[in-house]
Amino acid sequence: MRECRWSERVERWFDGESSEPDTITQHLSECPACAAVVKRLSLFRQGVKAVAVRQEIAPTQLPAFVEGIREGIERPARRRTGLWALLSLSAASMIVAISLFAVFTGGPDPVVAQHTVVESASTEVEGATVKTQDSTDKKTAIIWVHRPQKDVL
Amino acid sequence: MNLAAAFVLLIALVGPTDKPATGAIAVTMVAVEATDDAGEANAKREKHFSADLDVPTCNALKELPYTNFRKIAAGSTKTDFEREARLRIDDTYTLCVAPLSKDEKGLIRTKVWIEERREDADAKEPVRKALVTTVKAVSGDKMILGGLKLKKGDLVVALTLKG
Repeated sequence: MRECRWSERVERWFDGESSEPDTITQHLSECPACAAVVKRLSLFRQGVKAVAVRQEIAPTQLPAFVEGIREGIERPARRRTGLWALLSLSAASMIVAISLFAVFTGGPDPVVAQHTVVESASTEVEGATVKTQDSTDKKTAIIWVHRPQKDVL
Repeated sequence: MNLAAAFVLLIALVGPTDKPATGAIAVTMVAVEATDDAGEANAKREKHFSADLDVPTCNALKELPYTNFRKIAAGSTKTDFEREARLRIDDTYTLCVAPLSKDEKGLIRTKVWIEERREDADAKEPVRKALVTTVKAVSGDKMILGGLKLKKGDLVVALTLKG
């Protein structure tokens, strides 16, 4: 639809700023293009009203509003309680326990080569003795019965 | 309440670390008849191992002053602490193993003995302990027990404890 040359005057009338409202009203009844402009502007205005609802604080609400702001500023930060506190305490306890364990046990044992240790060895064979020794690589303990007639080690 | 829980946790973590000696101990034994035929024919004292001997056992035996090693028995079993395991070697000898405890380093304190059944008529006891020893064994390492008389040579037992 082609735009009417009256459209600007119609828009001013729509905004309540027209100096010739009767003339515009008469024109709108005769011009479908301007009638469509008015309709479009009406829809736009309704949409804007629906989205932007202006919040206003009544004078009677002001003290409570200010008090809310002051509380938000002055209230101390919320303390961590419950699960967070328990987790923090547990972690701290673990650190302390591990530290104490390390102190009292001397920490983990150094990696040393272990080998089998013979605590005792004996025999009921008459006249025989038992000797023990390690293999050259120290990995094998040798426990040997030396019989009276023959010694092999 | 949190402090009490922390204290309990602390005690649990720094408390005694000795563990009760439980759990199966695997006992593996290979018994060998060792002979020495060193002489003109074997002046270099070359070692001969029977084909059925595994390499780790051969390595454990090779330092012994014998030239021939023949497997006569092998066996394995599982036992527990304060329980005795018995592995028959032959008609005369039986290997007995009784794990006692396990220390904090993982060494298995064990009593080991070889029983000898005596057939001579003048023997006071039909069975004697030809070798008795108490060891702290490294799990998986071999120990050698030997020197006891067999028909042709000497008895050598390679013993391994795992647990």
